[in-house]
Amino acid sequence: MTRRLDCKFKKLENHPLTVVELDGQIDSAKSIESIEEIVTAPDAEHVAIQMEGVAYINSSGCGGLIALHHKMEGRGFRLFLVKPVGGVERVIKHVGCHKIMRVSESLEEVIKEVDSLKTD
Amino acid sequence: MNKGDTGKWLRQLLTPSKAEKDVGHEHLDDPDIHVVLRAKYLYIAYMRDLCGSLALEMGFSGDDAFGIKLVVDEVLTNAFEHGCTHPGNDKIDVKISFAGTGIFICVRDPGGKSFDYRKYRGFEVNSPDSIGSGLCLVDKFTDEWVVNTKPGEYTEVMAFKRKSKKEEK
Repeated sequence: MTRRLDCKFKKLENHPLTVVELDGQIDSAKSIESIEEIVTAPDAEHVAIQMEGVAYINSSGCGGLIALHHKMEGRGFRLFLVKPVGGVERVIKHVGCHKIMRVSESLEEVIKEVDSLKTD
Repeated sequence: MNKGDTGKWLRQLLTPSKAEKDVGHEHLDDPDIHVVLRAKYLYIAYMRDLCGSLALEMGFSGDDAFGIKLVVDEVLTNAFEHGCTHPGNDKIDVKISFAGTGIFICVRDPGGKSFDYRKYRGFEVNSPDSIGSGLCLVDKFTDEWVVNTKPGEYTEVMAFKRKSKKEEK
């Protein structure tokens, strides 16, 4: 009955962005362990997590994303959350995730932002 | 009934002398669901999903059901993490009652640890790394909630979530 978290990812060609597409529930830091392996891989740079398929998140799940953000920040890269919807968006705002990491409306917006980082 | 009135009502429910006179008391005294869980994360996950699904069946909106699932999750997780010293052995008592206007959630753990839960009312998380984000979510996603502690015996969190008017039939 409990929905797990499915994770697909792709590295954009000639671009320092890895896109992670999630589907399911983020209900603990452990549930995003598979993402952690992807985003901390030696060739991974900036990461965009597409949240539209995430139907549920709790404070522990937010804690996992925050820990991930800190790890990436420590390596000099950014973590973006893309299009969280409904209750998930509310939880992210109430917990304050949006205060430390970028929450974007679309992947295009993230790509533009990463491009601007490259030119800085 | 506004949030303040609901709070008064709920606090009355927690006061034994007044509870007998209150119509709502029967909802807690004779809950729709009464489950005793051994303190394991797996059971928490199933319990929260059950409550979310059941809320939808009972006519709550999708947003309400999300909130109910979240509140059950956060309260049970707190009971497990702060109120159970013997994971897998300690037991957590869960009562759920669907009233016409909303849902009552009551979770009791054997911890009996007092804390000032009132500081989490209207609590805004300044730093997402700070503690208390779970109770902050409980506050945001319920209409009223209180914590009742009998030191050394139990800690009980009671919450009330009103059914959104749009969904009332």
